[in-house]
Amino acid sequence: MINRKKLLLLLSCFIFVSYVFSSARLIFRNDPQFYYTYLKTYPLVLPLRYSQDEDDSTKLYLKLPFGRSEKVAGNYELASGWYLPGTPTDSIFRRNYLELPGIFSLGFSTSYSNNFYASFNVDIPVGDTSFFRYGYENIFEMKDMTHIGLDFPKNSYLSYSTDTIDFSFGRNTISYGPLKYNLLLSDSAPYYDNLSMRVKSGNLNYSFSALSSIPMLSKQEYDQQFSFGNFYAYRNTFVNRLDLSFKNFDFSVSMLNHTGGRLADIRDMFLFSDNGLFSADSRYRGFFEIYTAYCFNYSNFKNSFAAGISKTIDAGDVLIRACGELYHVQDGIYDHEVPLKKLYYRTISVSNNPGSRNFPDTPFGFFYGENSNIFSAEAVIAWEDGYIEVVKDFGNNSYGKVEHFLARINAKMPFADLNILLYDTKNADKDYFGFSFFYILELGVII
Amino acid sequence: MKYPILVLSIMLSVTLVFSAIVTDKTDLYRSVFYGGYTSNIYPRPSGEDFADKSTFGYDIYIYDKDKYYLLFKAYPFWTIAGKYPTDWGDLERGVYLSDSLPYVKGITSGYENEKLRVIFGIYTFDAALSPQELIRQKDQTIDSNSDRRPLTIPLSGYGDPFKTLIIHRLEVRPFSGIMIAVNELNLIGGKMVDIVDVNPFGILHNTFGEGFSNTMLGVDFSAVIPYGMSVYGQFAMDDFLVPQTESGSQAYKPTAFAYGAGLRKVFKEHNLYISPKIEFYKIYTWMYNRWQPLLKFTGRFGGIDIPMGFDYGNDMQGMLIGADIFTDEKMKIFLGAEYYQKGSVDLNTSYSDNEKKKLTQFWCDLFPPVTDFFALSLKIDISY
Repeated sequence: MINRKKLLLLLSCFIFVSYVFSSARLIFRNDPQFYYTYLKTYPLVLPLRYSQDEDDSTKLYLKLPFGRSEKVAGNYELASGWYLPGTPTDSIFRRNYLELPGIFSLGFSTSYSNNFYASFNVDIPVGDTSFFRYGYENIFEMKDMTHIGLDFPKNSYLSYSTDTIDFSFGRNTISYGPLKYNLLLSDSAPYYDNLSMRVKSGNLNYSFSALSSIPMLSKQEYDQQFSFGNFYAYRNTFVNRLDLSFKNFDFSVSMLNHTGGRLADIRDMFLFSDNGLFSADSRYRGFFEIYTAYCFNYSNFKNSFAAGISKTIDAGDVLIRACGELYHVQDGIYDHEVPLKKLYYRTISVSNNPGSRNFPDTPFGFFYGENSNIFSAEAVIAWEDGYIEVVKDFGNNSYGKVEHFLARINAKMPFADLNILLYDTKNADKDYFGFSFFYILELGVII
Repeated sequence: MKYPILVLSIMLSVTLVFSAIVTDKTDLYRSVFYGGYTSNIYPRPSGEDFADKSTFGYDIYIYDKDKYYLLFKAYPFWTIAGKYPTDWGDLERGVYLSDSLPYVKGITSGYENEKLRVIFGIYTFDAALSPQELIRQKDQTIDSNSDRRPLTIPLSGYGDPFKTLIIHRLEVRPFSGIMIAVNELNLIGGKMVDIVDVNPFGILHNTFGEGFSNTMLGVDFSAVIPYGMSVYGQFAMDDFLVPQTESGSQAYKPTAFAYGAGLRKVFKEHNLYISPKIEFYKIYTWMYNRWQPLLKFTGRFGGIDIPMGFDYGNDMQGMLIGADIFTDEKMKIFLGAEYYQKGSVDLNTSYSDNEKKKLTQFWCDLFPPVTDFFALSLKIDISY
């Protein structure tokens, strides 16, 4: 009994609600504060920067998800293999897996003077092949330690921000454009290893990102790659974007330059490269928001187009948004005959049971991939520390019919985040229907 | 019969002191005497200079063609670029990255506040290989985990002339005088580094023997204890055979650890600090080794491969008794006597010798025959 009391006392000493904020702190779609900040500021570039007061402090934390994730029905199983490239279908189903918290996460965040923020988050996941074979297991009911995955961290960075410049370096998602699924650079990938900056100057803002993905290939890809001669194991992408903003109207041009198999030079960074995309997008903010984007591949002139309309009601503490977006993406827009020059971001996911080293490739642009015609509808209710989101996507892509339904509650609660998800996904004659609910307890110590 | 090895070293050096950059560990030893804790890494900006949070600027220090520093600081960040010796740890002979290397070329950078430091280094090394070494480096069949292993094109492994060490550390000082640090070393060989590799906020980098990287975990601990004493230690893990997932792979990558621990006392007589210390070391048989020459944890200087960690290499265990004697400014002396037992595996032993590797009892134990190894050192450094 005494030991239990001591334990409780010790535990209570280490529990803090995490309010280490800084203007340099980045927030992403799965942060409870995301939609409230997004709908207040209408950004054209993600991630957002959190706008609350800073607090010079350093926090070490351990996050423990209490909850379950259950598969109700479905026949999708992630293929396992040795350096096995994934398809857009795998990315579509894998997204549901990526929405879940890991087994636990351990990390720190630190901020200084409202300008610097660093976050390091070792989020140990269930392996992706283990998840689709055995389901989710939290730390208290782990059947086998080999179910742990090794694809971490997914979100760790150093950020610097002032009124005129933003800078970040690390591993996080990025998205350029007004759409949910942007056509040139979207947050479809699990993360990008990147170095990014944004120069802010009134109505004219310039953004730049340098991304690098792993240069490894499958045997078939190597055979193809070597048929074009020797090469450097290098795959780099540079994105430049110029935003011109007026009172109710935004116009932007973006260029994504991708080089593979050789070292990049200054021309690749700022002009043209071996393969790439050019896009123009515009947005009108009146009673409705109306926005469009056109994007083409400057190597093969394949193109894509998207348009959307949304209405946001600002009721002070609560914001409500409904939107519909239509996408058309031509076949081959992200393709190239040389494997390292394809416009896909490649990560590696290492899992042990079933043993696998997968390359879950995602296109830099549209999440559902090439040859797609998709309609996406979304409704969001957001408050300062949470949101409820419902998404319905349908249409078709290269692999057949696409249907995706997602309902999500993501809210900051005392000592924890509440995360409830319902998802139903279909593509390529595969389906996966499941739900999850998690109360993600944070044990932190401010040092 | 193996004869014992005796190494005698006497070194006299004259060093230019840079007020804004710490280039040795005397301030660490002083902090033991006066209490508190500074850092066991150099180079780094000097505490007094960097703690002035308004400091923003740069300094250039050139000692000679083999030692120069460019310091940039903007609190809480700092960066030192150049060519300089570096040492990470309290031990006289650190086990993962130490001043065993005469110098490194590259960048050391940090983000720090009173409780936490994130320190990060990128160092490049001589990647020139002999024709035989190049064949070994480019032999894609040599590592069964490499993504290029199935290729039928001969010598299609990663063989570009680059060898780069990326090290990053999270150092926490939760209480006065106590420091705990976790380091990751990521050695990239045969491929030029990329953002994926140098990302200071990455970990493991998903590198598990894919053919161009080799990683090592380093853990560092030190505590200042009463009576002007400190205890400290380091642990390094080059490889660990995970029983659940790698059983049957004993001939592949043997478990390879290295650790050291020490106790130091610092006292002051007039203007002279005297710091006797005793340190114990254990370096596993296959530590720092690897098939590919560009993925060994060594740096090549004048054609000689020097381990990045423990000065004398691998397959060793033993102890050091010594003393650091120094004044506040002018002079420092190190006197040391060391005794080790040395196994027969060194960094020239072929990592492809699977019969040797799968003798699991000799991963930790010294590989016979064992030789006695003695070292006596005297280092005198005069500063101006």
